[in-house]
Amino acid sequence: MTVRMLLNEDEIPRQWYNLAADLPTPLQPPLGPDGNPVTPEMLAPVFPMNLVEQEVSRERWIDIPEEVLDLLYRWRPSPLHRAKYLEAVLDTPARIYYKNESLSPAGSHKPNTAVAQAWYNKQFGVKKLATETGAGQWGSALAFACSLLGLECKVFMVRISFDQKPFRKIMMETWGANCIASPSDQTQAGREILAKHPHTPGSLGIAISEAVEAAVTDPAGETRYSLGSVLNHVVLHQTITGLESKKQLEKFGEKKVDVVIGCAGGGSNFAGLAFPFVLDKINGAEIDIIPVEPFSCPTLTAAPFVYDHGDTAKMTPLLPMFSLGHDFIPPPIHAGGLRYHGMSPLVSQTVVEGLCAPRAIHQIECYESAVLFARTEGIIIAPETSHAVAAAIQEAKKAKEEGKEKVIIFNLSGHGLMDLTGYQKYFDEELFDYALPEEDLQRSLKALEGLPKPSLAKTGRW
Amino acid sequence: MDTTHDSREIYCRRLGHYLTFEYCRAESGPRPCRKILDCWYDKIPIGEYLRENYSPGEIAGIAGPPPAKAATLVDLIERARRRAGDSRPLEPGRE
Repeated sequence: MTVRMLLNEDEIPRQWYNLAADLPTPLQPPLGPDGNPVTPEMLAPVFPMNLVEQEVSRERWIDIPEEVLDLLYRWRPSPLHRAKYLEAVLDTPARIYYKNESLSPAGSHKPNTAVAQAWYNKQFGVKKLATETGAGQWGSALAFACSLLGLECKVFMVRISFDQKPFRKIMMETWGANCIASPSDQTQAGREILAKHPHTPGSLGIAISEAVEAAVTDPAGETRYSLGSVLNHVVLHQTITGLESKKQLEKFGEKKVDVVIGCAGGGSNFAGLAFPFVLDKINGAEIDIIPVEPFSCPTLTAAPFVYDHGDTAKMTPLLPMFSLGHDFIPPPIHAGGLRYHGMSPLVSQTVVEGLCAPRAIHQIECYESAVLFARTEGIIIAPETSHAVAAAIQEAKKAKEEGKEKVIIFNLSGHGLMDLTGYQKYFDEELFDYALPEEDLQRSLKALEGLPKPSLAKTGRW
Repeated sequence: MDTTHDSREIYCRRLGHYLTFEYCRAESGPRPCRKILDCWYDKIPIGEYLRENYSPGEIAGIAGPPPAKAATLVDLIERARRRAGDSRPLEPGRE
């Protein structure tokens, strides 16, 4: 039995897929601080126009430049594995496949967009890229990409992460990047924070401010900013994973896919695998497409209360928003807009339309699944990836119960070799699936309850 | 400030590693992280905690809808320019 399907370089997809062309309800442009729509030109101080054009493009297919393909060949096409060893343990009739994005030099899917962004910046004449990072997955991917293209790279790493995750900093430096703890004394934003809070552990918000300032205030105008998730052009670059997977499934002899799974943080790794299948679903295919996230701290699945309060507060009344718990909440002047915490608007829209059905899974089940995966398929996966594996196992067990030969595919978005702390906590039985007593939860929610919950307009096709 | 929960740990989805509630409650200077409600709602009585430790304005600030990423970037561009002494308004087409 073939367990690993490879593609030759000449079989790599030569176009990215842009779901924005096919969304049943088009995305609304975000509004700027003045309440007016953000225009592409307003982003020009931080992004080169060739990427801004991708950000707002409604073209269905966008050519991947040959030079970008040449960069991607270092690890792409990535293999699609048949998880037959996991299947055997589960004794499932399902056929489980996983797209192995852990084989990139940085160990995750992030370089798929990092190299593309670096290339487009270089084409535009940019000499240096600045970005922010937490634990360093994105920072290391961009450092790697810049090293390939001879660009300078400055990474503002949140101080608390800088201190806790020194190895990713070393990775960045190995690729030639300048990794700085944020807040730093290299920007006015950083200096102001340090003056007020000298011992601050930093935050992503501060690090982003520093990276943007580094781009905007470069007197030579040769620095731009780079972002690793959420934005449309980032998601676009990731679709190569789904497009490759479709070719590989065909080579495996699969005629139909039943379930597509990816973990959802900012949305780019999920979208990268899923969006080419979302297109099939829009065109009539019956596919369950599942973004998975932690039961604790959910973004897409039913959870709190919280977002219903955004409206009441009227703090940012002109911004697209939504309600996590029940109905989605578009303010009247922005029907179609959404509000997900740090989630790609394209992914959010697929959820609203019912094209995707998000799922939340508790952390202990995720680690149980990750350990089972390591002991069958051999790969120690990233904590985020464990959500996708857990959902795949749930679906495989469901197929067994139903006696159906389902085809399940998920995105193995990264290895966990730099993130073993969670495994240690799991083995030491330090992880808990919290369950606040119902009466405490209700009391807590009541302390925040407030506003009416508008509903969201959608096509209702799915 | 109530420090009862400070030592409780959580995996931070934004940063990608473990940290304590002490960080979450003061992530944004004296203000808590925007995701504090999402991340802690099922672990501690976070609604009560916020009400007892922050002003209604501060709570509204974190519970309110976050801006879209592109809008955040435009805001950060303008702030960076102001810090650098460039007071011209950001106009379409002007880099």
